[in-house]
Amino acid sequence: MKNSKTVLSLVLTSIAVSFLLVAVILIVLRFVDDARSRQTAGDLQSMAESRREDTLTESTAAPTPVPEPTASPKPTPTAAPSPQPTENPYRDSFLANSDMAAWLQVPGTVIDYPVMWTPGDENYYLKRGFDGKSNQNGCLILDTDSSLEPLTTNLIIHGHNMKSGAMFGDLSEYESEEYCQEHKSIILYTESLRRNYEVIAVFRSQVFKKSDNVFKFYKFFQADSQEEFDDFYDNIMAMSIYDTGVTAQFGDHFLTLSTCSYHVDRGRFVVVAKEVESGESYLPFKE
Amino acid sequence: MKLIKRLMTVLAAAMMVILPCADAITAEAAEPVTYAVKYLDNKWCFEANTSVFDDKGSYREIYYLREQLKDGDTVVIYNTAEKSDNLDLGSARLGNLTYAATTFTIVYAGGVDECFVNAGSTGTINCDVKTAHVYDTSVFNFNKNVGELFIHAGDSVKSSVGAAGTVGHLKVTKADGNSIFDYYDFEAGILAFRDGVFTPTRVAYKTYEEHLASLPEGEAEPEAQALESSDSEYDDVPKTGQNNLYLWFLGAAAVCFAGGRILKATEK
Repeated sequence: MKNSKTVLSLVLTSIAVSFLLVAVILIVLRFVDDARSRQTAGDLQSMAESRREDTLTESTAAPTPVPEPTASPKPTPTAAPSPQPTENPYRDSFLANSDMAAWLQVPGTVIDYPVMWTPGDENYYLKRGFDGKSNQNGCLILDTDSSLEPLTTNLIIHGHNMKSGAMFGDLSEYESEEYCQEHKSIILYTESLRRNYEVIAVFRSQVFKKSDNVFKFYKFFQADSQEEFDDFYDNIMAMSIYDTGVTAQFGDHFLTLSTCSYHVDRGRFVVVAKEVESGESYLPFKE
Repeated sequence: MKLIKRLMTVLAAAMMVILPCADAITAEAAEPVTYAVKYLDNKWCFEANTSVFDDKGSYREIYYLREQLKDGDTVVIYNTAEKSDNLDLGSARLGNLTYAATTFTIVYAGGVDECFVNAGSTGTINCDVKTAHVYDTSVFNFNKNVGELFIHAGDSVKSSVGAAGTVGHLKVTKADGNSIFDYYDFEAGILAFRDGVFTPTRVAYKTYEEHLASLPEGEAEPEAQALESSDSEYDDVPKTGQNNLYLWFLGAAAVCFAGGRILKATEK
């Protein structure tokens, strides 16, 4: 009897050690994934930074000649000429992986990542890094029903809600109105343009059943009529946790950031931003 | 033998901890809450965390309930008024809706998983219902679709039950447990019982055999399907949660380790 208890106790302790080992391995893998993800994003950010500096140096080294002031009559004011296209700071990242559709940046937050678009398999980068290797953090994903060329009314970007805060792990900070005021600007660098957005609505929602006849934020991509636009706009404004003071009208474009949330089963935390005036345009890539 | 039994018990405990991780659970949703609702002084009122409405208790107006209700909550309705306003419960999908003892009550909700209509209740529901239990003698109408409808009769059926939508499965059983009706796939507006008499306007429903024959080849039996909570029911949106597999392994390790220590301690 005593022997049998000893054997049983040993068996259980061995199983406990095995489970503990598996848990430790999983935790280590998580840290490795986090580190790799940070490293990749950091490398790409550094490349973008150095390209920005190069562009700045070139523009200061060779200033555009300014005509001498003459006594000619005062010129009539005209519309401000659109700024000359410059080199895309994320050019190297775009060239490194053709699946990259854009670069998303929310100044003052950790959100500073490439956005991948794989129409053939929307979830391809859900658990893969920028390099295509397995990574639990995955990448930010542009919904396959969204399009940059031609631009759909709404671009939806999905990202993991990582406990480390990576990807969209800190997106739920937008629940605080104060945080939103401090981080209301969102920038999306596409191949040809820097698109600037301002947060318009913040809300919690969920993934619904196919048969549910309710407002589904993740089904709105294009508004071809005032009614379609109003349906989306009225719903997001009604669901918004607070009033951001930003309004929109038919013809405006949106950027929707979505991540998992646990207030309900299949919950989602959503930040919607409206496009404000575009920033600089970029030169086409020459490989 | 005892050794094997003990081993099985502890392993079963460990598996109970580890098995749920197969679906990579990330967090628990808020616990469901039970609300008792009653039509009182010409308005709908409610009390939280109770299934019995206390007229002398502190209750609030239904407006606040609509703000609080979330998916999975339970609502128990009481109504003795001859005439009452419609009861609008908002868009939450209720885990349980019970007509405890009601005069004619019309309810609107986002959906109901289980609906119980207690004996003698009268009412209507305006949302899809997954499973409904109607007890004799009731007068009840389902204005949307019903997955499974069970009518529990006494010695004979006396209820009046109708469905404006489709009904996936109807089963009527008597008090002795014998099943009187067992039909499937009712088309919209076909199912009807008037004072216990089955009065469909036409034969637009199937027997079990016909129902089975109509299923695509290889498809699971309806009972098995009903138990499945399939991802395919939901819209296809990227799953952006983080899995906590390691927590489950840690839990299982703790259980096994504790079991081992207990055995060691009792050895002496």
